[in-house]
Amino acid sequence: MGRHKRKRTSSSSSERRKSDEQRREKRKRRKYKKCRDYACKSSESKEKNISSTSSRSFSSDSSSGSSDGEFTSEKSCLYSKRSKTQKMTVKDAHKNPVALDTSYSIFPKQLTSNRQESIFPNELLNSTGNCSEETKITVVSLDQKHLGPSLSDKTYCSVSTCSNSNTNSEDEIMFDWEPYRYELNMIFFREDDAIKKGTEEYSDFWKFLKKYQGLQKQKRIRDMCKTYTSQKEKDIANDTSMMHQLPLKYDKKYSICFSLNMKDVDELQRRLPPIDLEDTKKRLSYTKVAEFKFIILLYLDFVQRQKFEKYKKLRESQAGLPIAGYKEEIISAVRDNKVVVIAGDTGCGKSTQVPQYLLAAGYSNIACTQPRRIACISLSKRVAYETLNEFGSKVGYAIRFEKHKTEHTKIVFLTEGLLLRQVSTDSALSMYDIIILDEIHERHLQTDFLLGVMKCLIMQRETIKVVLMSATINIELFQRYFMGQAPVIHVPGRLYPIKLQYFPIPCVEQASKNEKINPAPYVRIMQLIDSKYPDNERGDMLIFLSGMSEITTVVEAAKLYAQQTSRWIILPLHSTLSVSEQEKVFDMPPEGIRKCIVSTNISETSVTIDGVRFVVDSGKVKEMSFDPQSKMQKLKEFWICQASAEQRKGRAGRTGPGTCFRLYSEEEYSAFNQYNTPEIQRVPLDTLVLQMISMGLPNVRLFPFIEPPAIESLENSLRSLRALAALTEREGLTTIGELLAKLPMDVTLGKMLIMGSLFHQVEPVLSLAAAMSVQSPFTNRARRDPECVALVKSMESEHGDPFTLLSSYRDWLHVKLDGKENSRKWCRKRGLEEQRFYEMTKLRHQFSQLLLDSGLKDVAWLPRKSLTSAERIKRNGELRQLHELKRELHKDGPRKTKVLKVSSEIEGAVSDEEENRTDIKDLDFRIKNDQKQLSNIYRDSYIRSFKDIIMLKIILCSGLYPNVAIGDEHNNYKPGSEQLFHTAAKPFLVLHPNSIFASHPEVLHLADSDIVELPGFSLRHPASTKHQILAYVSLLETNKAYLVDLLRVPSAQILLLFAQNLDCNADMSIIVCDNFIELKFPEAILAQNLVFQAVQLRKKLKKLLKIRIKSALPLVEDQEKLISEGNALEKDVSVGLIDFYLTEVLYSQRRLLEADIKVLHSGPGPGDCILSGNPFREDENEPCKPNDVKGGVNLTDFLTYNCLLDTECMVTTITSFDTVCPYCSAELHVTVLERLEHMTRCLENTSEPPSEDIDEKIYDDPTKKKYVCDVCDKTLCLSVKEILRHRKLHS
Amino acid sequence: MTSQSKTSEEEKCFRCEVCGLQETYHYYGKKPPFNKNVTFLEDCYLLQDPFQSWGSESFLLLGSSCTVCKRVVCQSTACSIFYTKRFCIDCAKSQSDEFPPEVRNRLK
Repeated sequence: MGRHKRKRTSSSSSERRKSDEQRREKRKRRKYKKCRDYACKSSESKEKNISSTSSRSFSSDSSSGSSDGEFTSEKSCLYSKRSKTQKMTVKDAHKNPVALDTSYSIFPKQLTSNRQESIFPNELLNSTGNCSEETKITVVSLDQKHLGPSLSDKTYCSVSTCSNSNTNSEDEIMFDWEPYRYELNMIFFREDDAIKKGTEEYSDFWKFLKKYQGLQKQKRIRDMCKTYTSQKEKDIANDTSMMHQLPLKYDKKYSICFSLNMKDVDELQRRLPPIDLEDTKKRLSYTKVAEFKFIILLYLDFVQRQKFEKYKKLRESQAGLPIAGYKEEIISAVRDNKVVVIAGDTGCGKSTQVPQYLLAAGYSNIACTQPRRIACISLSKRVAYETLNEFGSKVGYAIRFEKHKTEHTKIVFLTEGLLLRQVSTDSALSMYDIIILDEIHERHLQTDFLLGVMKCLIMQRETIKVVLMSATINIELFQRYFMGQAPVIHVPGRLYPIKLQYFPIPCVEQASKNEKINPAPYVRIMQLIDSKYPDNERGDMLIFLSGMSEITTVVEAAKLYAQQTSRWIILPLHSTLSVSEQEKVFDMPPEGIRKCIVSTNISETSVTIDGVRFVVDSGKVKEMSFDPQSKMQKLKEFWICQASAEQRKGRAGRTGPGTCFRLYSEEEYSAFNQYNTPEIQRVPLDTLVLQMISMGLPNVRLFPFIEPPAIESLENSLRSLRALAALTEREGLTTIGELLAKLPMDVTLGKMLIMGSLFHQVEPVLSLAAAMSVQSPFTNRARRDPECVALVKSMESEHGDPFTLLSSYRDWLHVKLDGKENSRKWCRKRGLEEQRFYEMTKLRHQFSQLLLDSGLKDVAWLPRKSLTSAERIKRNGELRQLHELKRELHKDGPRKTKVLKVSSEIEGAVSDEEENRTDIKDLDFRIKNDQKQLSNIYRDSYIRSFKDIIMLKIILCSGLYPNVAIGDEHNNYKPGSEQLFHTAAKPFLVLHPNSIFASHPEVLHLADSDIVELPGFSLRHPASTKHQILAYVSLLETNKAYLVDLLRVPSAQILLLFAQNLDCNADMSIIVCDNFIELKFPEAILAQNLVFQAVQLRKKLKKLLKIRIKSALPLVEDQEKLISEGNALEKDVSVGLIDFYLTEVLYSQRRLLEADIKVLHSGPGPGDCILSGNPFREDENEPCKPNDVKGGVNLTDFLTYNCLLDTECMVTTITSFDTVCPYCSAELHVTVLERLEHMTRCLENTSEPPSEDIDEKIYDDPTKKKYVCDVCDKTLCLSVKEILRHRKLHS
Repeated sequence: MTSQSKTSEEEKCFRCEVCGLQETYHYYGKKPPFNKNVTFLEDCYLLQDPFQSWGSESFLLLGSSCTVCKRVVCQSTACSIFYTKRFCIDCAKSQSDEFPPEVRNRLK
């Protein structure tokens, strides 16, 4: 056999090749001898079975050595003879089909049973029947146009029968197709053939062939030991049945109902490479080609049967679903009613089947909502598969940023949020005929909102059909909601009987305050199971606990027990585990061992584990609750509701009868709430309310909620939306509000993005917003492990946590871009959770898309970054490679269920294998993000200067306000001790341990050198220019109330810029911000200047937003002019904001207590009557309006003048005093308001924006004032502090 | 049979008269347009392979008519048997003498 061929195909080592060669050589010799036998014997006695002779001749021949030359000649002789035979064969072929080959179909079961697992199931092996008794004839070919085989020539038959002898079989047995792969490729696997080279099918075929060969070999070995075919068997070989002319001699080929459209074998043989034509030794014989052709047919039949089985199984499993019996009922109910409720428990198949039923019933334009995006994708895939439309577009999904539907799409799965968005553009939802709301029992915020919308919709549209699908929880509520006009179809779930046992935890074992949970009761139940149920009865255990730390405690104890008994495998399950760790729970334990899954409520509904027989329910859940008053999120442990207790119980009866152990008493159970509190009563409603208003609801309080939220909650949201300047006083949308409504994200983030886009800071703000929206990548390890701490240190920003997050993200991006280091390793080294960075990137991308959609990016006038053609080409090549890699990774197919190992490895440690495996997340990341895009993010997330930090801080605060906290006056700001902070609504909060300020509280400390001692200012509330407050992203209450994600900012500036209510006294030396923080200035003039500046900046900001939005409108007149006007104003405002931020002004700050606020305002009185004009008026004739509640007058919508009850203030509204205008330096004798009036005029006159020139800037700076020093006799322009310092110099 | 394949898609319904399996088929005949490599030995009800992208030349064979009683049957071994011709399971059983023992065994 060809040596060159082996080189081509074999990849084994040279040594092996050598021995291989030797073996082949030996075989070759034998073969040729045998062939010689064939040749002479067959020509002599055609029809006789000559195997006995040949066997004899072989033995004699093998003893006599013959040279290679002889073989060649003999072989060629054989060849010529054989071709003669072939010709005859073809001629005779059409007459009657005679069974020739059986060997291909013989895969004796008993021989294969011990073989290792194969990809080809036994059905293939069985279907060929038991033919071991039959004659084995090696050579066959089928003329595909006819039923029978073409090679039925008797001469040939006899030739092949020779192979039945021991001699021939040996060679046949050893025959291997693999060395002929090259030739076979040329013959059978060409571009237009049934199986193309290089396809998956092709490699699958070769696996099939290998298996086939193996079986063939065994069969032949067995046959070798057999004597010849009995005469009787030979007789039936040619017979056909009476009625249908069926061949009585069984052959596998008769069971195949199709034939290959392939050239004749002769023709096929001609496809062989020319070398082989000449070199007859290496040539694939006619019979071999024919055999191979048959193998292909066999394979195709095998594949098609497999496919049919798959299809049949699918249809059977569909028909087996509990809901299948309700198909007609559902269809007719939908036909006759506008609203139908389908109540069915998990596993009844409603989510997948109902849309299909409706489609089959002739409906199209079906929308089906899901609370989770992932469900949309997986359901659409599943339903497409089940409707045999996996590769069509009949079934699609739409989630935000991702749409997979075309005009042919008839069923679309979409998120609740997206359907709501569609309501805001098309209130009648005219694009849908049927709307299915799935999982409505989960009662998400948006579910409830949609339910209300649906209620309105069915009034509005005659033809619409609404189908509500829910678990069997609180169905009456939905029925009532639709006035009992919605029929309910109850579909039973698939549950086996479950035994219920109450095991209340005895008092002694109740968890004490210090320890979270006592694991003893849980271990006891394991013992109970061990004693009560024999090992050989399978069935796993599922424990429901409230949280991660509880899980850890129980897992530890259970592992100890498992070690003692070696009958258990303990697996934790919660959402923070990595995917691969989570997947372990689906693996099978070995025989005689149970797995025990210790889980949060994640496996109550989201994760379904089969094989669970025992459920242990702690009855507890940790839930995020929300206090709308303080906007504090609380993660607290609660008793579960009865509905979830039932749900947990149900998990025991999915695969067989089970037992549920409840670690509480029956009395306690009956005291549980019946249902969970719907989300709408637990979360802030800001975004929802904004969306409702933007949809045109005049009064959100009147919306037909299924269960209305507390009115205070709605009012609170309205208030905070007004605070964000999203709503007007009359609850109409402001410009910002309109923009925010277009951004389906947290309103605070939305506002940041809007502000960011005004100042060309969108890119870093996008990164910041994304970083603040995901969980912190910093794990506990990053804060405790000294190695990690050291490495992470460079990322930390003393300005605040958002900046730390940003720089960690940037560093990570750098690692990704650089490509030198494995980012996974890099993260692990630092104790960072890489997943969070992926999430950030994804979220950032989404935010950026949202901005584009809303037109805000146009507002920012950012150039679209597109790739050049060269870059595109490069990127395309890169993408191809990446996809290739990904395919390779997926080659192994979806994760298969593994058998768990008893000896558990060390948790958390990642094996080397894992380490070196291609990182699929990295691949996905690189597919989704091209280098240029990443380096843009990297570059744009860079904070270049101190000014940028200031700008970003201002932008962040614009969104975060009123989320500010003031330090307690007793804080010592020493590392290691606890610092207390207060927000307006919630006193006594601590800094989250992950915060930079928790580890470095000293940056918040007011140093002694910064304190200026002044009369009237106590030590508790000293005057300083360095007062700071913290802006925070969220409040979180677990065992303590924490401030999370903090930013330090100068108090007065930020408060004056963003507070909703600024109340001042008559000379503005005391300013109270939002009834929360009191600022007291020793120099009233400076306070006035500061307020003046703040008002001007606020005005300009408003104007800038207006210009930007206007100029972004398409087809606006004077667009160019507007843009340049906007740019000039932007420059002006940003310079102004930074100057304002950096203003050094001396003041004290104090948190007002409840008691202070009660006596804060003077109330309306005679002093409110002010004759002078309003210095901050929008138009000329607007007078100062008295404030009817607080007293004083409203100067702007946020600033109330002279409304504070201040007994110490000597100045009144009519007191004139000597002063200097900071702008024109004119000396004035005026009242406070007159002074402000003068400054307004001055500013209007100097229409030029303040120049950057430093000299001028000093004079421009309103916080500084002219100071004539008596000692050195100089006129200086200094701030108060500088004056004091200057004085000190002289003393 | 070609006229049948021309009828509108809605009417192309295959239904196995033994097990009731129902499906909309794509083609009825011997030479499906979506697979050039294979010729069927009988007129079959075929689907373009729903489990592979539509460019691929594979098919899903639903079934065909019983050569004896002409009932439409699916190719499931519980409903029909193919041995040079398609026999529905009932016809095959009633005429089991016609088949070689290997096939007969399978009918039991």
